[in-house]
Amino acid sequence: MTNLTVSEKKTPVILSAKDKIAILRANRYAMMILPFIVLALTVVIFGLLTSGRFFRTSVLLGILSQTVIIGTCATGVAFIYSNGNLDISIGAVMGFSATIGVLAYNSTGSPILLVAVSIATATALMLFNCTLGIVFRIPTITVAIIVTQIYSSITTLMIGGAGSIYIDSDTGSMLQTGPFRYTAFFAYFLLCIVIYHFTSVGRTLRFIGGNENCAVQAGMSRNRETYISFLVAGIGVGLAAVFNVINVNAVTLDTGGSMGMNVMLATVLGGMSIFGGSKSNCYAGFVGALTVSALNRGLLMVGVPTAYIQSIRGVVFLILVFLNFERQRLLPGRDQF
Amino acid sequence: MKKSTKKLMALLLAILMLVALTACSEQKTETETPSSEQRAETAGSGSAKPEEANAVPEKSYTIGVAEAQAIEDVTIRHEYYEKYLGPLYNVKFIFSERLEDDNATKAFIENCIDMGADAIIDFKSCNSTMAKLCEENNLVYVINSVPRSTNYDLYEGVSSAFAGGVAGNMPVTGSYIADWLTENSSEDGSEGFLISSCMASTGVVEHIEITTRALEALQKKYGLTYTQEIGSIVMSPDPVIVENDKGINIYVYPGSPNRDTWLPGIVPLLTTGNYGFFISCAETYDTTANVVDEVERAKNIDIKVVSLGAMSSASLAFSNQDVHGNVSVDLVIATCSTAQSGTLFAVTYNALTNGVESQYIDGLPTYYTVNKLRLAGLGEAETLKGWDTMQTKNWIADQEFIDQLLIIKNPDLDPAGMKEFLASIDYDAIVEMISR
Repeated sequence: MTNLTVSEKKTPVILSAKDKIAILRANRYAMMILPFIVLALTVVIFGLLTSGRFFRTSVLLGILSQTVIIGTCATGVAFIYSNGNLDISIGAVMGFSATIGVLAYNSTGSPILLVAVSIATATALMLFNCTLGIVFRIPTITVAIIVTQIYSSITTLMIGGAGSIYIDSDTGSMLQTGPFRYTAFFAYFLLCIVIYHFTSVGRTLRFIGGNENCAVQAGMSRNRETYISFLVAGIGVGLAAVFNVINVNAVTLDTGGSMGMNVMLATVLGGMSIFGGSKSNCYAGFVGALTVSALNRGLLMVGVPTAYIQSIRGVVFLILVFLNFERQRLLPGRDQF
Repeated sequence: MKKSTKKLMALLLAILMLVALTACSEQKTETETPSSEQRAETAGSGSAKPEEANAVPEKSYTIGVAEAQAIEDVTIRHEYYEKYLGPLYNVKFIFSERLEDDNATKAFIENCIDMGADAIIDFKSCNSTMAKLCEENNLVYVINSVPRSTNYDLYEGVSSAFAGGVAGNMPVTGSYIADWLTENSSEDGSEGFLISSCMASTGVVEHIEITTRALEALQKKYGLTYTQEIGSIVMSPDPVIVENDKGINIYVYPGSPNRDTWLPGIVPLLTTGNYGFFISCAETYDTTANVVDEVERAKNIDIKVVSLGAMSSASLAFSNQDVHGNVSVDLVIATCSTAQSGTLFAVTYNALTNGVESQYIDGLPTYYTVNKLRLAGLGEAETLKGWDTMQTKNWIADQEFIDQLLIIKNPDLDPAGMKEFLASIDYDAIVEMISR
């Protein structure tokens, strides 16, 4: 009787640090909110370090403003990443569409054409990339490498010797400081959230990204979903091109140059794998871009020298990537849907 | 070793590598304003020995520096600004990373505004969008550029924040090359001329100037008539065989001087042995030294190389000789890094202390040019060895130099006077300065 009592006594289970991290990483919701926690911590820490100067509206709005371009691009491109595709040509597409948009504006003086032509061009180019990949069965990353060279060359020819084409600053300011920019950004962002998280499109993309064979056998069309993902991304890249132009009143040979890498970085920092899968989401890039922007501004405001800023940012990136990294599962998990 | 331990080790090693690299690149960086004793000590450790070390201006300013590149010149500039000029004139500097595009420049300026900066020195974008941003936030804006198609409006007074621009003296650079070419080329021009116009086709003023002046010098010396306009040859993004009535072999090769695209194009041209003169608009003598040497050996010729360059590498380039005793470069046009950076600082400081209008000529902003240095041999390069380098921290543009450009030190000084002073700074003047 006594022995039985002893065996029934519960002994506390002591978990190792490894187990604790594994449990944390296995928890879908914990990993979903981690990027938000990191962002909030970044803001709070810098707020304290700068005696509240970092909390000023102008600073916080400045961070949001600097994030709009990468955020728009990354939100759209998340659709491409979700089903396991990669496209690094978005920078070149952005430069190309911005140039066409500026040329259209300078010919007609119509801001509406600037927006419409930029978005239409970017969408057309992204769909062209997609078609090349699907028709010739070439991985989208390979297509992207090739077309990047072509688009950049054409952009250079269009921009010409001066290295930049300007739009008049009144129009730029009107679009930049008026309601257009934030309205367009948040409308696109919310539209993507709805499509990605509340319709079958997002679910299918995530399923394909998690296990393509399984998805195809379940009757899902990879080609159709790929087209949809490139279409949504194209609109985002075009919109980002417009934001880029109105921000500096010009398109230059540098426009979009490093956008492909910046979007990847923002996506990873936002808690999403660029290889897609079940835990993908479409807001990761925006959250990641906000974190990068807050980190850059905060470190400068604290007075950290440039060389150390790069280093500190690198350390933060490494830790976040370490926490976010997840091997692809062989079969879709329960959290797939 | 357990898998998790390996991962942790990998993460720690990666962080360690980042920290170590930063430590190596930035040996010592202080963010706080040093005391006056430290200022005097810092200033005294350089080339200048300021006699009035305690006469540091009371009013403190913060200047943001928007950088376009991450090269040795930039490192030198940071050291010179932060450790030398900063303590002398009570100025704090905020340096950007290498800015990739205009958006990055704008973001940097916005960050500087939040930090309470008083002025921006722009090495990257140099346009009216940035000037207007500065104007809206009461910052002074100074650029490292001469007037060009992308910023003419600045020099027409579009922004009240714009105090002026500073750049290398292109006409003087062009004349150095043109004169040297005229003196050293043969009477019949049979040796052939290869001109690398580099980024001229994309509007880089210096490259346009050098290519134009070289073509004009050849035209004048040999009485040539080109079938194409010089302007269209210079601005061509494609290689041009410069056809002329005397049949002299002239080839203009454009392109960004890199190892991936430019070098594979220039090497076959050099290896033909058809070009006895190789004129390059950028610093390329290190890249082409081997191929020039091999061609000289194989063809038993001497290819004369003219190139832009840096003071730090010129000595070594002039020291390298092939089997025939020919040096790997014959003429280097070098930038005096601190003279240019110092002038940018002086224009900015004048605008801060005496208003932007103090830098106007006839009611409009102006630009200042700093002469490059003509180094025609090892002796000249050796004379400047150890100056404007991170190793010695001996700065050519010392306190005496900067003071001559500041209105607070010379109340009667105006932009014309500043230009006059800068025009007098050439190789001989600098040798005299550093010998004092």
